[in-house]
Amino acid sequence: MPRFLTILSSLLFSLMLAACTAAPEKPLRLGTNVWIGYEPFYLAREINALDQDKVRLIEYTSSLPVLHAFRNGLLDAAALTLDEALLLSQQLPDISVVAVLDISNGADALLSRPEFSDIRQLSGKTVAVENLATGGYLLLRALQQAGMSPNAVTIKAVSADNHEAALEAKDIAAVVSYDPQKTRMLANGAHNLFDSSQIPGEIVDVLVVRKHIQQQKPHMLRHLLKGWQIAHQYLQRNRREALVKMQPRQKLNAAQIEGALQQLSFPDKAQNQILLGQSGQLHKTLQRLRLHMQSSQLLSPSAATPLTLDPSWLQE
Amino acid sequence: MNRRQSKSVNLLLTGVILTLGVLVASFFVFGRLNTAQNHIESYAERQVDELSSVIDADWGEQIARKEFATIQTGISNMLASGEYRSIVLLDEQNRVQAASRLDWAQQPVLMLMSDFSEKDAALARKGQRRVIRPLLDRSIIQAYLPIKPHDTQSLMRQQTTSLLLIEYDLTYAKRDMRQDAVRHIALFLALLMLLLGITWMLLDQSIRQPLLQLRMAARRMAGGDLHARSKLDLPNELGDLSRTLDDMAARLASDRQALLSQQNALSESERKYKALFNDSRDGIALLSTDGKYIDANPQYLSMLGYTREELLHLSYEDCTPKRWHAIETQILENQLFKRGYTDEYEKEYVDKNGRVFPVSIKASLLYGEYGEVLGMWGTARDISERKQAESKLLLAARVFENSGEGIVIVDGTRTVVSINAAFSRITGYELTEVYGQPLQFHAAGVNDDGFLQTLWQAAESGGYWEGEIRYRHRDGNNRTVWLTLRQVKEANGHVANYIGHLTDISERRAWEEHFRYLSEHDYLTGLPNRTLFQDRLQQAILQSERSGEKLAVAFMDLDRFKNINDSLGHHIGDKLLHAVAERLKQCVRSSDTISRQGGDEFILLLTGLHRREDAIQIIEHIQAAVANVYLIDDYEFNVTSSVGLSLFPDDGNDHDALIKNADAAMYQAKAAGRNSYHVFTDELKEKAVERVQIESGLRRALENGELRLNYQPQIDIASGRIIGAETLIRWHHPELGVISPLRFIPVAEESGLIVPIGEWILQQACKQARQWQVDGFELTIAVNISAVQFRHKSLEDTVNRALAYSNLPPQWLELELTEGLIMEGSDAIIGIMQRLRQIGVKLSIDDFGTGYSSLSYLKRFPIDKLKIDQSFVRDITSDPDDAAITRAIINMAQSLKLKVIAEGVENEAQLDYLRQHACDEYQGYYCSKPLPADEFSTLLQSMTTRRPAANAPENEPPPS
Repeated sequence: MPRFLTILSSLLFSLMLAACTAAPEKPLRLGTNVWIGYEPFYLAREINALDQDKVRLIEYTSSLPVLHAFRNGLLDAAALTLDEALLLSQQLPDISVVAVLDISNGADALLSRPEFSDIRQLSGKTVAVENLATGGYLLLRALQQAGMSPNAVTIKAVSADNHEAALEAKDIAAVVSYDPQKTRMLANGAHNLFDSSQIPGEIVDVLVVRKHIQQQKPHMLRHLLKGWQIAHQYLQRNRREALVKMQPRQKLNAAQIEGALQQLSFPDKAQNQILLGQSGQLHKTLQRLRLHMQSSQLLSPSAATPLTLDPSWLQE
Repeated sequence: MNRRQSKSVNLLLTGVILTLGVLVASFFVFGRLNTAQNHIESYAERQVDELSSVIDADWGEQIARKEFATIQTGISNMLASGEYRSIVLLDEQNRVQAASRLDWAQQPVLMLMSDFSEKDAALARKGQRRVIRPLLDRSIIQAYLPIKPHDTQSLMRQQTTSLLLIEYDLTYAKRDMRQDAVRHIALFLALLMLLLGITWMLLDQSIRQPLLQLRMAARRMAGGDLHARSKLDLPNELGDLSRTLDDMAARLASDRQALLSQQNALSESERKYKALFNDSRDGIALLSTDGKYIDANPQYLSMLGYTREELLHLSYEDCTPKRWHAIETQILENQLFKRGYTDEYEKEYVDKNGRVFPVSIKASLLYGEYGEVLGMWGTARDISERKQAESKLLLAARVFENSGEGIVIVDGTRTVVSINAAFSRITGYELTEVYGQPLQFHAAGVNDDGFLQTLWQAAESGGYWEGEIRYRHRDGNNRTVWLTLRQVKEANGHVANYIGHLTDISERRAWEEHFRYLSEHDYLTGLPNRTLFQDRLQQAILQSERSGEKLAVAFMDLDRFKNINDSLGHHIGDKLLHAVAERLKQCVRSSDTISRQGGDEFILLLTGLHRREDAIQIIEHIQAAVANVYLIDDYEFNVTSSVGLSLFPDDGNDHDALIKNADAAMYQAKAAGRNSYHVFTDELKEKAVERVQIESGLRRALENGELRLNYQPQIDIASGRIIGAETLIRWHHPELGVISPLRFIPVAEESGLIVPIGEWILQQACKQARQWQVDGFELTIAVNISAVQFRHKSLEDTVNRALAYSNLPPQWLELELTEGLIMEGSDAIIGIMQRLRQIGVKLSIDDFGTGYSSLSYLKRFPIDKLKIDQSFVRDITSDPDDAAITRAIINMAQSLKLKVIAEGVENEAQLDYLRQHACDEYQGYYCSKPLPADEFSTLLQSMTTRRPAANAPENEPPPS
């Protein structure tokens, strides 16, 4: 008799528990713009390494709407350039960097119209950047290395999806851009005057996630990172299929994608640990970037809130 | 086990309540879910309506301005803000203009979304109102929102309608709802549980406890204590049950006493059966109807190697090899279960160690008291030994029956007891025909009785005989077999049987005969070959020595057979030879032998002759027969033969001499102009000797300088000048003196010596001609080339060497070929002539007119000059025929643009005639006989001193 009652009461208890379970979670929403460095997320979706119920990829054509959407709370996570992340952290302290997605090694470049072949020829001309941060940073570094003043050129903000048209229409003399449009512009005769391979490790893209989301949906974030790693492995092992799958989004052919990929490096889990770690390189890069952005008035001089780097999500 | 049963009453009741509760709950939940679902869907629809008004206003303008990037961002934001599966903006052609997935841009939506409904899209566009369409068990809702692009600035609505397709994902909302429902159910169930707990306790008091008491009493009774009582004093059904149980126990106690006394009687009878069972020699086993062992006697257990305990866990199929299962099952079904027992049948058992052995089984059904089937029982006997003996016998029988050798077994009285199939095959007799008959190899009288007597005696006394014996096959043919006859004795020494082995050797015999025939006969004609002929000849010589009769060897060669072979091919030639052989066979007596020696040579052996003329008569007959026309493959042939004849004992004592002499005589016949026979004579013998002398002499002649060259001048009839010289060879044999070329050249040709001799002549002649040239006399030097030399492959080289060696320009060398060679006329010969002409030398035909060369025929040959044979020239002035021939030759030569020279001109009349008929040149005694080189030089010198004669008028005779 006592045994039956035990069973009965434990059943009762579990039913009570069931009644108290939390409401079902909605998928983690990750926003990205179109950038070859973020393509592994889409590759992961293509090869079914991302569960739609856990992660929703929100696709934007340029990075500005990504930032808007993130700020407006439409997104839980975003793939951003480091400077974008830094800027964002000023308004939203509730974010941290959980992964370095890619390191630009020539992928970001200053491209000029065919008639310009030297950076000094740009003096007095208009140069387009997508945002004043990354684009501005690269342009500034390019001008610095050429011994030119930051004021030597007029900077104009043009969203990435309009880069090609603007350069074609001679509205601008040069543009700081990246793939896929970079490869297309080069194919159309643009000159590469300067690129990120000349400032190694300074231009990186990161995955930024709201901290409360990290606490609420840790399994979804882990799922996202796992999918991202699987896509990397797939990219290594099934190169040709991977390139084919990237084509519709990037609107490049396989050879062009391959070329674009060559100008990037994808840090794996271990490299991420080193980059994001306490004495990691990213801290230094971040520091340098902040100083630079402050001096370029892209960032308020008082901005002190450091962008949190969180290597724990990619620990073994 | 009992404990659980004790709960079942309570459980049953509570279970019923629980089930009812759950049913009510599910009904309640389902109803709730349904309402909630409908609520969610209508909520989604309301949302779509709200959206559509906002979107139409906003995006219509952006679409008009083609600001798809902005729309794109709007779509992405929308996707991020709500539960949408996808959001797609389509143009008029349902092509994606912007979408929540960038890679969909510009593609037909039909390729992207399988559940896109063209119908609903069209409907939305046409009615300019939103269309809602649920999908996938209602977890997705598709909304088709038409958007009219309009430009606020122009305030114009455009004609085309874009369509926004939104897929609402209701999964989350529904999941929420379900969660809600679960919560309600949980609460409900919790209440239910509480109710159940109370029910349980009530039931426990009123039912379970009394039941436990009842059970305890029942258990004691079951344990044998029939004095136990439950004593449950309740006014309900359980109380009744308790009283009934107690009564039952009392009854059982009295029944048991009666049973015990019955059992004692039974066990006595059982013991008796048990003894029978245990002591049986056969294995006996008792089995249940499903084949499980119930019991088995010791014999059965020892047969299978199991202990009784082990066996009782098995069924008979466990002890039976697989392949018997089906068979045995069938036997049991057809016999045992149909009529209660089986016939004795054989199967195999497999014992504990895996040994398989044959057994013989008999099985019966085991009936109970009322005829019900209790099981079955069977006896089993190990029959391994019997089986082994059987299989040995079977094997022996097979060997006997399948042996390739014929085997016959007869008893001591030589009467056939058995034969095998091979014996029937060899003799043609079946067992039924010979059984009980005496073994008669002599049935047809093939073997004489004496031989068979010996055979049986040997077999009887020695126990064994073997050898070849002839018998008559049933088909009537006599055959040969190898017979081995063995005696078989019984233990007491009496002859029990004879066993005869017969091996058919007829076929081997036939082959041996065939091979012997092949080795002794010519394959083409079937005539005896050289080997057999020699045998026969040797035997014939011995015979003749005894009888004193003569015998003849005739060597026969077909004339010009080679021409037939060369021109018409071997198969015609072979057919002709065959035909000739057939005729020869018909011409001779059976005691004579015709043999083909190879090629077109036949040798005939004629025996039993008395005179030489007998042989000649036969030969003439044969030659006449052979010479008759042959018709082969539409060709007609006239074949003549040359025969040489030698006789024993006149022309030779042994076989070698006879053949050699016949051969020599045959050559003589050939030399005499073919189609004749020649009998070997002493003269021929001498000639043969001389021939040998010449041949051996020739070998030395070159080395010893016995050969010399003479030159006969050739004169241009018109000018009277010496324009050439014919080279003629002379041989001064140290013993035989001067030997004519007519005698030694054939020998040289035959022996092959003509090649070195010919080369020597060429070299000498060229050297001499060059010498005369150096001395100021330009002469064409003519050299005779024998047919053998011409065909020898080195002729070109020889000519080249002679020219090189002498430094003589080639146009001054003239090679004289025989007309016979031309007549042969093969392409090969023309080829050689052309190559010689390419060197630059001139070619002439010697003794022209003796053969049958026609004008058209001559045209084919690259020749420069004809030499009219001296036999025509000799009688040119007396014989009109010869004159006519000469004139014809001259005319022919002129028409062919050939030079013509007359040989053997001996007087002025002949020369006159020739000059009249425009012959170009002559040679002969009229001018000069052949001269040694030095004398020829002198002649040249003297002619030169009289050079003016060269300008003498044409009719003036040339100086001699």
